[in-house]
Amino acid sequence: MKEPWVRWLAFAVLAVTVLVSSCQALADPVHSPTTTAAERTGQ
Amino acid sequence: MSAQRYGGVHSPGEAGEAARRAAAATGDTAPRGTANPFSGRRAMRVDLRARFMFLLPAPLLIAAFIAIGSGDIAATGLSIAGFTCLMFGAWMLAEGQKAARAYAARAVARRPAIPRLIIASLSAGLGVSLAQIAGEGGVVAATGFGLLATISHLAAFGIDPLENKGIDLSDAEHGRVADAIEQAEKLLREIHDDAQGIGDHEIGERVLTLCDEVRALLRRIEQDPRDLTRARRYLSVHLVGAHEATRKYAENHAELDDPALRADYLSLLSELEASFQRGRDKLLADDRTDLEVEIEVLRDRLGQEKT
Repeated sequence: MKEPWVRWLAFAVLAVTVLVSSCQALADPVHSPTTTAAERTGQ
Repeated sequence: MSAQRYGGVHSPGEAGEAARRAAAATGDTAPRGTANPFSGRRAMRVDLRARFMFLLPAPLLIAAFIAIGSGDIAATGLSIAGFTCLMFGAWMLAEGQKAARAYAARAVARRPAIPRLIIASLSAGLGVSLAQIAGEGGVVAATGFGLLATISHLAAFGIDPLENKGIDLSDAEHGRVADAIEQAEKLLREIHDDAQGIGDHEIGERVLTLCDEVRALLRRIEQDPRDLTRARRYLSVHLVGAHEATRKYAENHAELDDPALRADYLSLLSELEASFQRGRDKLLADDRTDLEVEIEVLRDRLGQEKT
């Protein structure tokens, strides 16, 4: 587990996981300023 | 009126030769200033990957602001909680790496009291899970990605040292050495911070040299813990005295603004430096005496066996 390439690979996985999860929260329609209140509540 | 060519002791040619002759005549051959201020010091290591962990959660903060704008309190809370967890994890990671480096630099050290790297990986996992829930990812995705983040964090940055180094827990003497060194390092950090706060270049340099001397003594004690008893006076009286004097000077130098006080403080630093140097030399001399006695005893025994 101490080889540098393993560490770098794990870091790449971690970075992508954190970034994608953060961006998902940003891209969620609930967060979009163009989404109306009715759309948010599903009415 | 003719211009005089400048030349110091290190200048080449005739000007340098003249300066060297003049210096030899006055006996002023010692180099100016103190020793190299970087000698015996490790370069500060900065792990860019750990720094990068502070940047990655940025979209979550933006998501939180947008959620505030759209009046969604649940999404706001989840985004802020996820962002906080990830930033806390990044901070714990940086602190954990600092503690791990301090542990690696010493021959005798206790394991870090708080497992910061493990906490950082758990915090990163929790942050990713909360971000997933904020992004309508569902419980399965939140758990899965949270676990993935924790495991990849552990693989990328490792875990904290979990065992004491150079200390047998049954041996109280070694425990005392580790405690004494930890306490001395803490005092040195405070002395250094106080001295830097004074904003006087010469004092800053002199304090750095003093700290180097003390650290050299500490490394000596680490190599041979029996030296702690002999060096206790230096650590408990001289170092504490240096700490107090630096703290008081840092507090009062601006109001008093007294050159005589500054000169006194600098002279105290010189005396302390010399004292720590003497202490280290004495420990070396004691070690030498111990070795000579052992050699003598062994020789006697060999002589007896021959006869």
